[in-house]
Amino acid sequence: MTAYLLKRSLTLLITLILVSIVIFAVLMVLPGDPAQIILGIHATPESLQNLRRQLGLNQPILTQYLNYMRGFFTGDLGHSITYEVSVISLILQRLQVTIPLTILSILFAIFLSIPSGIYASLHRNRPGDYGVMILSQIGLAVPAFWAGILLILLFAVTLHWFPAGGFQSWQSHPMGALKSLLLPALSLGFVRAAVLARMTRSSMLEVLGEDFIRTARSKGLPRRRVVYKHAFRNAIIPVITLIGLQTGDLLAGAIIIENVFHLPGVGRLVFEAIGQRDLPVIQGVVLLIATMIVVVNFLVDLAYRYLDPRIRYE
Amino acid sequence: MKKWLFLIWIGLTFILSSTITQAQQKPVYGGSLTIAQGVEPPGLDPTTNPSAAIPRVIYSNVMEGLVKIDRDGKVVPALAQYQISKDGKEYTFSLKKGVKFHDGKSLTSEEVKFTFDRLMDPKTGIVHPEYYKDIESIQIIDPYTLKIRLKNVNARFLFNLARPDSIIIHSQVADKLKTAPVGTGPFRFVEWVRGDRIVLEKFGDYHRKGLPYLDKVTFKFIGDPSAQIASLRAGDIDVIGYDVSPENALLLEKDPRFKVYNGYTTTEVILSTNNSRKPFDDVRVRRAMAYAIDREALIKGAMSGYGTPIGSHMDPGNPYYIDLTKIYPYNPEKAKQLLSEAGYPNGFEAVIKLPERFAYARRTGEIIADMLSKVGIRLKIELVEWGQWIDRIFKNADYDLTVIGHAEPFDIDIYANPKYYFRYDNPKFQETLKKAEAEIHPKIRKELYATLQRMIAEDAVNGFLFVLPSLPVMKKEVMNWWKDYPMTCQDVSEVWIQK
Amino acid sequence: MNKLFSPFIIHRPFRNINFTLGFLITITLLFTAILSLIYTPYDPNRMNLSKRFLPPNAEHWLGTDQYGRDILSRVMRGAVNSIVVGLVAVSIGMGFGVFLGSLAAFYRKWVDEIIMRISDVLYGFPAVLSAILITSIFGPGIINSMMAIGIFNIPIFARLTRATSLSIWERDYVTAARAIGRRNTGIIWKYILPNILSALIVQGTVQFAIAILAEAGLSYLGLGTQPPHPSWGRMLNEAQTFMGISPYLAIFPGCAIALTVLGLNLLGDGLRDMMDPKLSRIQIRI
Repeated sequence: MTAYLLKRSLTLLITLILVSIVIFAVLMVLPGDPAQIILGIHATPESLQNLRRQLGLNQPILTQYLNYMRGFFTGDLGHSITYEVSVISLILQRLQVTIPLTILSILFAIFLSIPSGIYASLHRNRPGDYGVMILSQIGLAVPAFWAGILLILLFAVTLHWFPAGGFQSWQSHPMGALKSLLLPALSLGFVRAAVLARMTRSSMLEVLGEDFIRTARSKGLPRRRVVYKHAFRNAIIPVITLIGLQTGDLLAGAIIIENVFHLPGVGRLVFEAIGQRDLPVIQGVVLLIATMIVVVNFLVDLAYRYLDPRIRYE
Repeated sequence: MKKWLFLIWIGLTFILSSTITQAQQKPVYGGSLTIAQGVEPPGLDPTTNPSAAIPRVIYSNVMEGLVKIDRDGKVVPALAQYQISKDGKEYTFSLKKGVKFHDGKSLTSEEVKFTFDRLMDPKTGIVHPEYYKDIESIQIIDPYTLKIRLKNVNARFLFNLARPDSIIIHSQVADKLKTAPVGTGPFRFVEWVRGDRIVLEKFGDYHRKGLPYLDKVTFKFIGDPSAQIASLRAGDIDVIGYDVSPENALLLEKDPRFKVYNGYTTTEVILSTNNSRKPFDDVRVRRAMAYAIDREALIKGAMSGYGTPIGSHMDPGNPYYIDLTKIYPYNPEKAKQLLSEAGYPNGFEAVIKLPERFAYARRTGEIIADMLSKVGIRLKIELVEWGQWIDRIFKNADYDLTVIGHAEPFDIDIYANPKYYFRYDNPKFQETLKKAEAEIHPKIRKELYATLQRMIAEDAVNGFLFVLPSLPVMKKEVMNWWKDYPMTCQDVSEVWIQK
Repeated sequence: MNKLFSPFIIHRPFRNINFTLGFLITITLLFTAILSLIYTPYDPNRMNLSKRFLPPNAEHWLGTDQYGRDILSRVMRGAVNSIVVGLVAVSIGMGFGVFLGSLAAFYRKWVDEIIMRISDVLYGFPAVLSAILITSIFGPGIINSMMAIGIFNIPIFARLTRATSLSIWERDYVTAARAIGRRNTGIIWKYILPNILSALIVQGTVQFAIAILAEAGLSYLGLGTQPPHPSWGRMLNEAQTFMGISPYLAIFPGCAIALTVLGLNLLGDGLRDMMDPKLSRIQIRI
């Protein structure tokens, strides 16, 4: 176990370093001069030179990388070129939108998917099952951003129940903030629910067919108890794993959904930062997302091994 | 017959006088105004940071210059009357008496001298040193008079003094400029809650008697257009001064609670053309393109009808502006004929690169591609992201055609620079511009600037399309907001709220 | 022949409802795409500024957009775009993925380790984010977005190929073939690939659908297909701006995406059911 942990942690570290180098290299070849972008088309050569010096853009690349990594490990990701605040504070501020959005959409997905997945598995090949399966097929086919647009069309443009987009700050309007996250979370959660419902169903079917369930039933245990105590507990493991593995997808989905609903989250931050050539912000966010994904995958892997004793350690 | 005319005359006067009385309704004192602003300023010093968000908060509200641009785009006295010597090189400023800074200090020549010494000190690191490079000396005559002497005549000098870069400050507060500016304006800086708002309050000792009307002004930072509109509808804010999209303006105009002004800005939207590339080096081809573009339809399609057509590189708010939109009326037949003369009877193919970031430019470009295709010019559209646009097109002139808005007020001088991305090299234009800038006599100077505008229009250097609309949106009760934006600012000194 | 090698001996495929529906939808899509190259009611890119924002009517069945272009014609031509993107992206993914996966399964040890680690990194990284980065280096455009989507198909096919072919290398007939001195490339072509083909086809159908979704997303963000060429994602982006004026714009392109993806998913499900009910496919990612 310890050896395995060590090995995995080492790979984790190497992966992260690789990712950071790749990101840094990518940003070095990004065309466009940040100084010129800030000053726009009316800049003079002197003012450009001044600004480049201020931004540290005239140092050798290796120095820039080492400085950056030193900062990364001490929690300093540099300063945003456009917003002139530290990247960390910018990201932390934007996470106040992205993290609740992600959690909310996972909750939506779970509430929609797990009951319907269980229901479908218990009513296999009957109308209820078909209904759930048809809905989940639709969920897989509808792009989340279109779901978002349709929700805006219905609830904002036509009914005026929700704002068409934008975000009010948690501090001044907590309810308003929550309200502006509902539609985006729903559109992300719907797609996610489709995948999870199918997974729950097939995982339940698999477990229900296994010997220990039949044994439990033949012992005379009540059906409810068998389903929830025995079958569900085992069937949920792969579903949880899937939820964990979807972190990356969720963040990717958030980039688009935050643009649909004009939410000031991390996804929109990085999208705008690329347009503005705000290198410190792009580096910070991409590195952060990559780190989150790799770490979450690592944790899911461990949890999976912990939950399911059938899996051996390599 | 005469009777009819009389009736029409009565009717007209009635309509006119009713609009005038509406504008001249008696202003009401008091109240507080909340203005939505998309971008939070990165510090409040407009001299060392180019962000347009800074003057939009502080210029003319907290800080003032010696002169300013009025609602019609003319340079008028603000803190000082001025006189220009016969040779055009000496400017004498007589400061207004009784002007007080927010900290109680009175304005004298000392402060003005300090301001310009600071601007000319390379250590200050200002954004536009070129505005002040012609200053030879600044001389204090008495506490309320000073003379600025230029090395050479510069017709744009006065205009530069009306820019937010030339705000007057005093030495004790120069270091506070970035965070808590102290100026002579109608409003005093109160607080800046980072990420949320900047609050200003009425300055009792303001030098223009009877102003301002408002007690309090709040600039609320709402980054997102749809959130700004949601806040306006919810009543949290009173005005959105900048960057309302034409589609949203159209919708808000239909709402009886709000009003929208279709004014102009200084941003000329042009079809920039690489004059050094074939076939655009042929003036007949460029003229053909000018004939093939239907400006009215373009403004309707791209801007939902908002925007003012232009015929040269000058905004209608500029005092030197002349209307040249009639030089090339929409005429596809003439365009085809010119193309044949130039040796392209079947048209040609080219690439138009559009900056993805700006919806107005993207839509304008798409429509132009369609319009030009009707005379045989087949354009391939490439959307480029802003960084690449600046790098490839603006810096390296690696393009055939593009669409962009030039926001800088009074920037016709860019056509005198053969290295500018239009690659337009016309020695006659360059000479005339020099003459115009060195001309002292206002009337001759005006004629010279008219000649310049006509020259680039006749050469059809670029496709001159329209100036961006200002489109401020506000509650019906907000009165006296500026309709046009001849300068980058949101001057609320004369704004009042109807009860 | 062994059981896995079954795509060509399906009996009475249309008894499977998933397959039938999916097949019909996909064929309709293909037909529309081909038809749109020869005939559309109007030129999909021709503007008519006097006919902006028309609701659906007899002349324009699905209405017109902000430039007065015919939506029906644009939706039809948009199908070509989606199919091309799907095909290219899946081909890139399958081509490189199968090659790398076979290498990993054949050489095992460190080759396997390296290929799988790299694919882990690729697999875990959000494709949209990388596509945004790729398109901002090379410029937005259909080619670059196809490449970006294709690259993120590689690890999926690599993993699938490795997982399915590992067990086949252990089979008796492969061992026998190796014993009589057949060359390894020969074995891969003759025994391994045919046996994993059905799995690849099923996964390919699913990835096709995902590629279409991904392209729509990128085009929505303005990074995919360039104007004036119609793309469903881009049409939705523009529709959102004008939603208050003309809500129809936001309906039809989205329906087209959803229907296409639905068709491909059903086709994939049907194929999987028929070929091997136990064949697991890698989960959907968007």
